[in-house]
Amino acid sequence: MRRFNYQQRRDFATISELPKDLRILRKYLKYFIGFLTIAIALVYYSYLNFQIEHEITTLTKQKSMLIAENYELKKDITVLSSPERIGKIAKRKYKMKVAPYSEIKFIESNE
Amino acid sequence: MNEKRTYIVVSVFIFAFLIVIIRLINFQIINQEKYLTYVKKQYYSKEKIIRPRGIVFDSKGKILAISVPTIKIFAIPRYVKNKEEVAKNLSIILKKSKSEILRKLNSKKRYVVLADNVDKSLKPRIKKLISDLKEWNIGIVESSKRIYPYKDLIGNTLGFVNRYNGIGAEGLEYKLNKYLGGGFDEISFLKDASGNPFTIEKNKNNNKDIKNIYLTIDSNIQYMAEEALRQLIKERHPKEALVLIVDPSTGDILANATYPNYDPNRYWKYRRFKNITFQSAYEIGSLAKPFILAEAIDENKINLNKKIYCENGKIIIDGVRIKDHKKFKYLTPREIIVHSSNIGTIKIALQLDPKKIYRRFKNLGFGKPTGVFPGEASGLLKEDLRPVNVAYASIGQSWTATAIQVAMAYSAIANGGYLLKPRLVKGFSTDGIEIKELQPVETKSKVFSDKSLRWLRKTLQLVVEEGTARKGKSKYFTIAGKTGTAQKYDPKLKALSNEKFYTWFAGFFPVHNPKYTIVIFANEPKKIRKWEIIGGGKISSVVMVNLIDRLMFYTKQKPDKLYFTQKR
Repeated sequence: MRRFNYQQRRDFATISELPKDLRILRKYLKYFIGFLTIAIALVYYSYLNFQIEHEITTLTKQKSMLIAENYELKKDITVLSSPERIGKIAKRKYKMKVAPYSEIKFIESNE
Repeated sequence: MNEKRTYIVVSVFIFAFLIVIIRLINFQIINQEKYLTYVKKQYYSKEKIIRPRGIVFDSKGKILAISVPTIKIFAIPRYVKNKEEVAKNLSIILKKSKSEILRKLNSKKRYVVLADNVDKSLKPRIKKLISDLKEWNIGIVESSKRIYPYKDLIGNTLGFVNRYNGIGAEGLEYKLNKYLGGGFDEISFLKDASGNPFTIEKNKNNNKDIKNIYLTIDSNIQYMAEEALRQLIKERHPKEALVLIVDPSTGDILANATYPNYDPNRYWKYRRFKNITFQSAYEIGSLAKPFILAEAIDENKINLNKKIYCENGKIIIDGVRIKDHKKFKYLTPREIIVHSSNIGTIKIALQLDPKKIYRRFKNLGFGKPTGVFPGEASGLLKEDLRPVNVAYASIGQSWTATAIQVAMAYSAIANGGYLLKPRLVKGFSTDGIEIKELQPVETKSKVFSDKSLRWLRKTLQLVVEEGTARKGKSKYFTIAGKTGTAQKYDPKLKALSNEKFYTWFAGFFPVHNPKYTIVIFANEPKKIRKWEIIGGGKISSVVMVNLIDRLMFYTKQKPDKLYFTQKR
């Protein structure tokens, strides 16, 4: 019968303990997977959060630019529709005059 | 033994992981706000920027004042590397001088404003410049600029917003600060270890409370009134003048043209911001006479058919001589008003209870502000029962009133005798759709009896048709009103001047269904010819002729003068 030295015997003992350890590890594997999943979920949550925040920032910027443009246009429309400007165009360009009442005919409405 | 050790190690790991996860949940989810606040406090410093204000609309929805979003360009000079290049490029974009920008960049301040109220459309170009030059210590911050698109149209009624703190400082902008919002907002700078700001980080906006305001002013009517007023100023060069148009049935102020006026866009270029319609009180002269007659009618102290001797133009009361503008002999009460006889009115007033005369003036709203405008004058109305003072009070001398008080008193004659509270603000809106009323139409009291009203309306119509205001009458519309001329006190003469006057016209039209009350006032109008006698009728006629028909045409009113309607 072949004899094994001390070192070899220790190695055999370790190898024989390995499946036992693996069994223990396997027993807790689901917990590890659970923790890992939570960690990945948290990272993904952070990533999503970042993405959404980025999108919100971009859209807010766009919105604020559009609001500014809208206000600027509103102001321009008001300036263009000012009675002074329209009056000047009517008088100078189209030679319009205030109509005398004597030339106005009133139509009675039955409504 | 080994199994036991494995358990211990695994447990330690699990416990450590659990602690980390719990802390993460605590930081990221449960107490996120709290920790963000800590971070902000530790790393950010705050600066102020001007917040936008609500829009001011006229009664037809046209914009009278608007806050246009702009940008402010900042720099932290000590960290700007290539100042020359930055100044050169920014000067091209901003159309500003390079040397001015360079001077700011070379300043020793912690941060400088390179340009304020810059058009927001330039933002992408400036951002590109920052990134191209890699000058991260130049920043852009949102701001706003108050713009009055119609410039000086209704300028001193609107008032203005202080360009440094964004708060209304004059006129309606001041009065409506609570609704329009504005003021400062905060931006945050990221601080370095020694507390110096080095990057502009955040722009916090809090504009939820601002409201848009709708005024009773119609910008088209306002423009017509200002054009007519310009004619008066061109012709008479007064120190001050105004044209006020009010709806007598609601008290809504439709137009308030005043001279002097200012452009709120450049308010810092002007010295005077007074709105004379509300903030100055003057002697109203003969405008007071119809109120004396109304008191006499209501107290049954007058026979309307009996002629009164007008002393041939002179009367002495308590040793003081009071003159008429013409030598009248016998006049009926109606003729006294139509020809505006001082002595006739004084003789009627002296038959009345002086306390009741003052009470009537007070009931008509004189002597107290209407509360519609900030810094409003109350006018001076002191009860002095001596006959000479009652005489002066009856012809509108020795006491003062504001133009808005006069307009409301004459509106009472127009609307059936009810004194209304004037309105400048119709309502407000937060969403731009639903307008909520800010101040409902408020009737204070009935101040004229029906009998005196009937008499007054007919008499005041005759004032315009045949009397002192005949130069301003319309071919197409019936107008009722009264002219007034009050001598100004001359400090050099220490007496009432014969050269300096306050001239007035107050009236309403069309007489039978009054749509508008009008007040025209001029302070020290100049004579066109040397021999000319200054009077309210003559001075106001230019405004009446230029304005009344035009205003009625604008509101599509059919002429109501009998001969005209018959001719049609």
